[in-house]
Amino acid sequence: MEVNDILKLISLTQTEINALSDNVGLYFNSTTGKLNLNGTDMNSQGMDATIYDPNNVQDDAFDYENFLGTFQLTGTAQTVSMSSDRDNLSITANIVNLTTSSQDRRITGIVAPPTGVNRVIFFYNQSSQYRIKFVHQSGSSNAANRIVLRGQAGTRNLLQFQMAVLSYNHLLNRWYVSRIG
Amino acid sequence: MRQFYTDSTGAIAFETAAPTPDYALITGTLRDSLWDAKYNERSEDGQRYYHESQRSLYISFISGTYTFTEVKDYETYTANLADEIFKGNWLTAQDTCDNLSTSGIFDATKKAEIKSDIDNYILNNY
Repeated sequence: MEVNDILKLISLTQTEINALSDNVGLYFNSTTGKLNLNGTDMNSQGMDATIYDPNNVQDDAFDYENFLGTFQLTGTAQTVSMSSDRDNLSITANIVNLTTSSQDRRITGIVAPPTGVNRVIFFYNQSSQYRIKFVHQSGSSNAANRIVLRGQAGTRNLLQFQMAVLSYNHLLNRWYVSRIG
Repeated sequence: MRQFYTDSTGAIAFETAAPTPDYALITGTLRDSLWDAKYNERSEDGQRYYHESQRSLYISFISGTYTFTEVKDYETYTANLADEIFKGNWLTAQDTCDNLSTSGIFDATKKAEIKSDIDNYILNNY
């Protein structure tokens, strides 16, 4: 084998590699996205798209071709009907659409995540007329579920077309609210 | 009148008397910062109320219910009252409204409507 033969090997396409009669060795199969050993793909050893790209989005955080991709929240949004003020509100989704059809409503607390889980929740007010009010350190919710607000304001309002991000702080055991514009 | 109370868990209550079982009156810098925040809130509510009133007045003007002169006279006549509501001084505004005689658009119906709104706000927030 001469140097030119080696150079040709380096530039082989996947189709040409597949056609080789002698393909002993370990290489990356660019067609299947898996490691190939001696001509056979290694099932559980490669970058399986169903595992590493579950959303089939070519630019998200799971994509193996762009691992540090576009940040996105996953899961189905949850709608919470604010038919009354809510204490110890239980939220399972990462995105929450709040609705109220009769008057301004208050959220005094949200169920805290378990230790080690740093939950972040995005709240949207879907009402065009009424406000959602987050309440500071309200005794109506359990201590660990309470919300703290900037400047110790009694309440902070969430209006239509506004979004608030709440994250749980395990040091203080309270929910923090991003500044609402 | 309501004041700020706190319990052993750090909960803050704004009530006319200390809630049971273990709430105590808040004093010192925490009390001051809570009142600062409360007046921000009262002012925000006042601005919202003022703008709603302006909206209603302007719609009446463009629909022909009131003339420009009537609206201008009303705004001049109620300027002090509007200013106090806008700044969040609802208690002072209540007194001003009580002592302001009717004139033009600020007739008995309008006065009663504004007084009722102020009374309700004070009932729920003072």
